[in-house]
Amino acid sequence: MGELLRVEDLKKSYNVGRNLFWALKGISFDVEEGDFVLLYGDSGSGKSTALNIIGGMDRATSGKVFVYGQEITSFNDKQLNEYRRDYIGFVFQSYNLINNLSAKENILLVGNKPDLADKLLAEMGLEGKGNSFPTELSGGEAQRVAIARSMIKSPSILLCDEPTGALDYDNSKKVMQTLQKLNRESGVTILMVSHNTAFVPLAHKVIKLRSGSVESIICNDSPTLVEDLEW
Amino acid sequence: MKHLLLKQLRDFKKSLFVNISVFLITLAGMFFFSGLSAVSGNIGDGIDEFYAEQNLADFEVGISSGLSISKVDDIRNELCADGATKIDKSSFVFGNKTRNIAIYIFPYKEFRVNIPHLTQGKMPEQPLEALIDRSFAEANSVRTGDKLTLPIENKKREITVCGLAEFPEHLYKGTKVPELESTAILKVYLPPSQEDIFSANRLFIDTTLAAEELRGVLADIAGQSLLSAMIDSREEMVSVARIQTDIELITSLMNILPVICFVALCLILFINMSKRIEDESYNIGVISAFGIKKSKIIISYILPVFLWVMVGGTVGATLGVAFLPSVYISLLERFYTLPAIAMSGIVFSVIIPLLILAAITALALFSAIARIIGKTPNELMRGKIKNSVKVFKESRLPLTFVLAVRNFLSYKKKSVFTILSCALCLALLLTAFMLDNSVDNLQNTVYDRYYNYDATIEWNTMDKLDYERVKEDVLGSGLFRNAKFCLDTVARDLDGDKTVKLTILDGDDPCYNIYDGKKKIEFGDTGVFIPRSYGKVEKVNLRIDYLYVSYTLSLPVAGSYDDMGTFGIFLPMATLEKINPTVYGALKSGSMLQQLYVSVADASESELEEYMSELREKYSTAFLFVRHLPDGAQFSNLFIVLDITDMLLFVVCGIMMVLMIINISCLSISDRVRDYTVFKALGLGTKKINFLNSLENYISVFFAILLSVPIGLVITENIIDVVIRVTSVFVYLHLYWWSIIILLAGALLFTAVSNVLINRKISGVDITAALKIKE
Repeated sequence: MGELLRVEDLKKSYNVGRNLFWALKGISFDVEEGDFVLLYGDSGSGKSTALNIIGGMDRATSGKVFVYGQEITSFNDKQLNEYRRDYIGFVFQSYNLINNLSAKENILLVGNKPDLADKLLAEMGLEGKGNSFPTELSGGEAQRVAIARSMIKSPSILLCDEPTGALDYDNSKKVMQTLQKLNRESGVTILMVSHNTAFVPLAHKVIKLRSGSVESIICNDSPTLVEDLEW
Repeated sequence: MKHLLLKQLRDFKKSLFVNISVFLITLAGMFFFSGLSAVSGNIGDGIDEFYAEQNLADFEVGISSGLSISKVDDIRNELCADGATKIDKSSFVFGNKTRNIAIYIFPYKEFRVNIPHLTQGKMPEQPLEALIDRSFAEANSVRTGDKLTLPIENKKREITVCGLAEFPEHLYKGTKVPELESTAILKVYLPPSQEDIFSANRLFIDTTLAAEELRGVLADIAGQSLLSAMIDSREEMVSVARIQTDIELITSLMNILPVICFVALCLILFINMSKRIEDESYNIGVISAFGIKKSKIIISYILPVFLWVMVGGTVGATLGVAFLPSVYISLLERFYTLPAIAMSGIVFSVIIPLLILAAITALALFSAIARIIGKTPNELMRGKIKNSVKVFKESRLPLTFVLAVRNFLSYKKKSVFTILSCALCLALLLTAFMLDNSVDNLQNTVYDRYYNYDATIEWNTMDKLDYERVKEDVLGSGLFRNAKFCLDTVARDLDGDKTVKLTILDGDDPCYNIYDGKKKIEFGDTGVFIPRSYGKVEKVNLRIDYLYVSYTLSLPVAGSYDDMGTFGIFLPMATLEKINPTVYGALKSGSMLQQLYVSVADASESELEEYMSELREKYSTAFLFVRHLPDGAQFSNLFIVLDITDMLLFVVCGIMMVLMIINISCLSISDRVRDYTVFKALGLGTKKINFLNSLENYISVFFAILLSVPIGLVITENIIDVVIRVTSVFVYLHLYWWSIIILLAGALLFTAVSNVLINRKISGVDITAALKIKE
């Protein structure tokens, strides 16, 4: 497996009133193709900021992010948009499905491949839910639709921002099973952000952030199956 | 409460554009509302004061049967009337120039009506001495002592100019004397002993008597002869009625503007406040959960907006009363010479509109916020879950189109606001175009087509003429294209007992009104009756059962005095034949015709003057003159007022378009920021997002166009109704095809500008910040 993502001395600051707040103080790590990487830390540790910059949704103050050797931190808005479209799949904590589109239409909006959409829905265990609208889905179902939506483009990396943050235990487990299945069976690279330490055994690599800095990076060659995990 | 208000004030800054538009539209509405309230009443009062100060007449008494000088003297003595004036119009020769002269003949020594200011010589003291207008005298080298020969009451009289004077502009009842260099006023002193009968005499009476009392006195003095007289109050006099009509017309038309502004204000306030309450539902729930009273919460939301509206209203009202009256008066001064208008009651003109504004604002705001009353904190915190719109489910239509349609149905406030605001703007444009096109059509098509006479030749005589011969002569001169005798402005081409054949293209009176041809002819109606399909109809037969016979016919039949109105009778033609076969015969034969309407061909002024001299020689008993009627003269004020109304509508529409576009943009962004952000995060192209948004707006505009047509028609019909009611001019609604093209282009421009603004805002949205806010 080759290197997919490399983060070098990434810094991000915000103006908070008259003060400068450093959300990221220079973090570095890399992600190999096919990895399931967990970026975890407490609230305010900078994990979502890092994910947004990696996802091309935010700009770094300094530092570099390379995806397949291309420096995305130097991209203009148009290039970033293309990058998000061609390389990135996003799964948000609050699903962010388009309310006025059915499950299948939400997927087709991103990539107009009806057969693949049906297949993805089936893989996510959502057969027969394609014509349901977001308000008719449970949280877990909605999140799995969101995952299917992000997978329709066959992204290079799936970025998940607290994907189970709004779900109960059962639904969380289903979502995590789905993600692990995608990683294991389809080889999808996943970079997931969570504050839940229970997910640490699931990842190949666990990057712990504290106050905008990398506190530790732990590699795990044999991640635990979701089914075997209780939290 | 203090902290609640503090929160609102901080939030207030967030909706800056909306608040600016609220401020501006309130300002505009109150500018017109207060300004008009201040000016309209004061102009009427100012004119009344002017009449009182200038000692101008209160009543005009027209006596058709003729009164002897002694009777006039009786009336004058009895009523302490300020004067008795006989008006005549004539032309006479100064060297080689013919000039029109208005001759004011005073049989008495006193000049108490409209006192002239003597600048040279003396006031007339001897019979046939005359006072002449200074400007005219200077322009024509007339000096004191000159002798002039004038036709006065069908007799040539030599008068001596005894003095020059400046005459009040409002010499003739408020009408400004036009072109003083070519039209002069001459006051000729006639001997009191003269016993000439004043046919068609007019008395201008300045009195404190009421109309009924005056009528009684006149009847006592004049006996039966007053049966054929009319008494018009000041308000019914042509000049007074005209200025009051114009004031009423302008005020009525301009009143549309504040109404439009207030409708727009209510729309903006209601939509934005209800949207804000929806967005703030969670916060309101939290505040309410802490035990703060709902009334306090409601007040804290309403008060800043209410105060802001009132600030805008106060500024608008102040500017309105400060500037609009002078603009309004300047407008009227294009038509009239007005006395100085004192402005009073300004405070009421500000306070009353402000109270109305306060009521409207409070109603709109309270209607928007009323939904939180009765809801528990929990319900408020939970908020309203927006249901998905499921139209075109499983359809094969393009997904972008499906989503645009569903969004249109889902974001109701934005869609309703876009449709209503766009429809309102388009309706205003439609109104402006329809007015402009209708006036243009009236001027270019109807006027040229039906009012095809631009001059008249009149016989100031009661002697019989061989009318056919005169007509042949006139047309034979080659100076006139066509000629038509008209008895008066009512009856033409009499044919049979009850039917008048009205030939539209031959015989229309250029001085009277056009009516809708479908209207049933009723008592009191006069004018040219043109069917709506006039575009294809050249001749139309109308059945007229009744003929209005004016006082000038002096009919020996019983009539009735209409209080303060015109005395006249309505006679079925058959009855007229029985009662007065002579008049009936005269009507049928046309032997009472005195006016020949002609349209001047390519003839120079000198050729016309030469021809006039020929005619005078030929018809020694008749006096003839040509009076050019400038194109559209009788409607000129109306056209100017409608043009200005048009201009104002375009301006107000332009301002409203800008404000509405800003509001639509704000609503679109605030409603949809999450969707747009998700689209961007998912890597959807900017073009696709923009297309989606544009498509949704075009759907709204499609409905707006449909809605704007009835709204525009209603507004235009109301304006036209005002025009018809006030001026009695029937304006046929007309819309040129190019106006429709411009309207559609305007609609597309409206949408395009909205789209550009919204798309620019979308592209500037910070994805991470937007997602954080919503999450």
